[in-house]
Amino acid sequence: MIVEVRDDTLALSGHLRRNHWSTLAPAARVLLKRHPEGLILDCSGLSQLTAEGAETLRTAEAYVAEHGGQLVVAELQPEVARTLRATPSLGSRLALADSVSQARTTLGLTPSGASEAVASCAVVLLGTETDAHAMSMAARLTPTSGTVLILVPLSVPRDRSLLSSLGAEEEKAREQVERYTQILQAQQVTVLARVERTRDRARRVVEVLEEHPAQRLVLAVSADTDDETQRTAQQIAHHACCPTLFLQLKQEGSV
Amino acid sequence: MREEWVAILLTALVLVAALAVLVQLVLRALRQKGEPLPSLPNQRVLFPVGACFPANDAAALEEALALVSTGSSLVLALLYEVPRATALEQAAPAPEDLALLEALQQLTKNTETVIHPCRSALEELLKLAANPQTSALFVRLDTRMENDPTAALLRRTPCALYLSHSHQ
Repeated sequence: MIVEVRDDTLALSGHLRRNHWSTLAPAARVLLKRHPEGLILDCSGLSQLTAEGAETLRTAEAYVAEHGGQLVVAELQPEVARTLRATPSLGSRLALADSVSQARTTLGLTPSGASEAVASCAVVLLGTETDAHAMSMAARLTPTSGTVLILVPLSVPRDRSLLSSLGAEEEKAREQVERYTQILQAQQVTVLARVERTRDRARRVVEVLEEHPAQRLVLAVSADTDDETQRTAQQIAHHACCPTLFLQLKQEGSV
Repeated sequence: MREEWVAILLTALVLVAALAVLVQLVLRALRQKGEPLPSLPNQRVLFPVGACFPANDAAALEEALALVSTGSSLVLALLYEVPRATALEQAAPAPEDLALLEALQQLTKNTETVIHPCRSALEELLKLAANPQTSALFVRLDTRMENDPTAALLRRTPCALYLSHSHQ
């Protein structure tokens, strides 16, 4: 089972065959601290749930209730929902929602960091030398007093928790964002920045763009960029919900 | 006497630590301010026009122009495909392609124009892109294109490539 923290939501994916509460507990604690109203479990990626696995939800529900909140389980797949309904004294007790946004409404939450404004340009920094070129494009395409959304998706290996810092890599990303923010602010451009830890960089970027709409997305790679990053960039360009401008340089740093 | 030495040593340590912090702050500030954003590959940008690149229209040209700095140039390349049964020199571009080319020329001053009959617009474009003077190629793609050339462009473009997707 994979656990991912997305803003105010705990997303589960894969199989849930035994009580995994001890895995979820640290993340749940952090989220409840941020949102005492309750906890949203996004189960859209959960493909299998056994009766023993359902005990995770029972323990989670008890824990959240103990802390004065409500557990809302969102986007259950039909097979998983059937198992849950068949679990004695659980199916009728849990609050279910068809979508994460419906779950937020149930709890009276608004998406964390959500912005009403549409950014003129979103730029994805993938940790390569070409990031600076992507920023150049964003700076050129954004009018004065426009807004740029800087997105830095950081890939977290499966053997590490999404809650733990990535150390030097994360610090470098934040420094980079700080530097670019200063440059853009000097051009009277408003900057929104998101440094995101995730298992799947492309998917996370697409999700953030759904939360923060942008008129255009820019990204850059080069012929020297590693295959995984190139694939990620192409997936983002393909799945993003806004027009994209993709720059492929001949080689890193070439002009 | 001993207390005096300890005080001196402590003061020196504090001073050294403060100096180290100061140097670190200055270095960080220099690092942050010292690297301006790089210039984009935009000295001579190839902008294909014609039935094979239906999304490279006035809106796409405006996007390309936003990336091209003053002093750089844009090459409008009207590439039209000619069937094998017809000799290349006997074929003429479609009137609507010529009208679009003319409209695009009026949008910008610093433009070169080339008109090429060809058997394959994509191959001809890649040939033009291989010119060492060409720094980048700008192509906007959308759902109107019959064969999506994304993969071929990404793999074969010999210069920098701006790929703009207008519709998802």
